[in-house]
Amino acid sequence: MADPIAKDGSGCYTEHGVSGYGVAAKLSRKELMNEDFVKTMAESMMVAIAQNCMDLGARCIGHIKSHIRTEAGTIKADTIGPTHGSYSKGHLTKAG
Amino acid sequence: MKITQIAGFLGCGKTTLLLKLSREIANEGQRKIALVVNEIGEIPVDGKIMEESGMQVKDIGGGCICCEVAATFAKTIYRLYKDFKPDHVLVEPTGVAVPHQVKLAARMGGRDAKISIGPAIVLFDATRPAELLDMDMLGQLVTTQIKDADVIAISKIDAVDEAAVSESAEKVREYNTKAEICNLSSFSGTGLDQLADVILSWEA
Repeated sequence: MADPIAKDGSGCYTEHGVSGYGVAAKLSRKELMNEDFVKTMAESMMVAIAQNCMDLGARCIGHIKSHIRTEAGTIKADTIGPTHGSYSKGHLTKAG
Repeated sequence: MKITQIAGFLGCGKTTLLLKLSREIANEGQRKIALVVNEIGEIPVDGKIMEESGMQVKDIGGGCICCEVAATFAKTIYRLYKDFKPDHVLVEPTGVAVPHQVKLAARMGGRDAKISIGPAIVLFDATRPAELLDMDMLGQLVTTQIKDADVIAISKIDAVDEAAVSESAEKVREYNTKAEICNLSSFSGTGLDQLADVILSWEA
C-alpha cells in the first residue's frame, strides 16, 4: 500500500501551483447596517479580492469565501471567480 | 462505521451538499452521523458553520488530509470510532485532495477501528467545465479527482441549462468510464436521494 504522506512535506496540490490563504479582520462602521447593505458589501468584497488576485497573476480562482459575523447574525458570501459573480446567504435579525 | 468522502475541486458545492446529505442520511436521528471537514488554511471557515448544524464535526486544518495531515485524519477517524461510534462519517476533503489517497489515509485510521470505506463521490461544477479541465491550469488535478471517483455528481445543475449539464457529463465520462454519473442541485434537492441511497447501499 502506498504511503499517502509526502516525504518532502509538500502537499498534493503544490505541483499544481495551488495555495490557500486565510485572514480574519474586525470591521466596524458608525452607521447602522441592514442585511442588504452587509450582503452587498460582502459580495463586492469577494469579487474585488478575486479580481485583485487575477490582476496580480492568478490564473484561476478556486473558492474565496467569507463569513461576516455580527451581533444580529451571520452572512456568508463566496465566489469562484470574478466572471462568476458572487453569492451570499444568511439573515440578520435586526440592524447591527 | 462507513467513511464516505464528498470530494471535488474548490467551489463545486461540497459544503452545501454535505450539510444537506448529512440530514438526509441521519433520517431524523435514526442514524448517527459525524462530519470531518478539511481545509488547507489555518483559519477554519466551514467547520464552524457545520457545527451550527448540530452535527458532530471534526475540523482538520493546516493542510490536506490526503497528504500533509493524513496522520491527523487517521487519528481523527480512530477517535470518532472510539468516542462517538457514528454509523456514517462524511468527509469533506480540501478541493485539491486526491480521492484515492484520502481512502488510503482513512484505512490507516481503520487499523484499530471497525470501518468500511464508502464511495468516493466527486462533484464536478457544471458552471465551469472548460475552466476546470483546462490542462494548462487545473486539468491534471481535476481529472485525477474524476478518475478516482466511484460516483460523479454534476453539481449546480440549477444554474445551467440541460445542454450544459449533458456536456459536463460527456466530458467527465472521457476520464472515467465506470463511475455512476448523476445530476445534483443542492439548492433544489435534485440528486440528494440518489446520493444518499448510494452511500447507504455501498459495499466496498
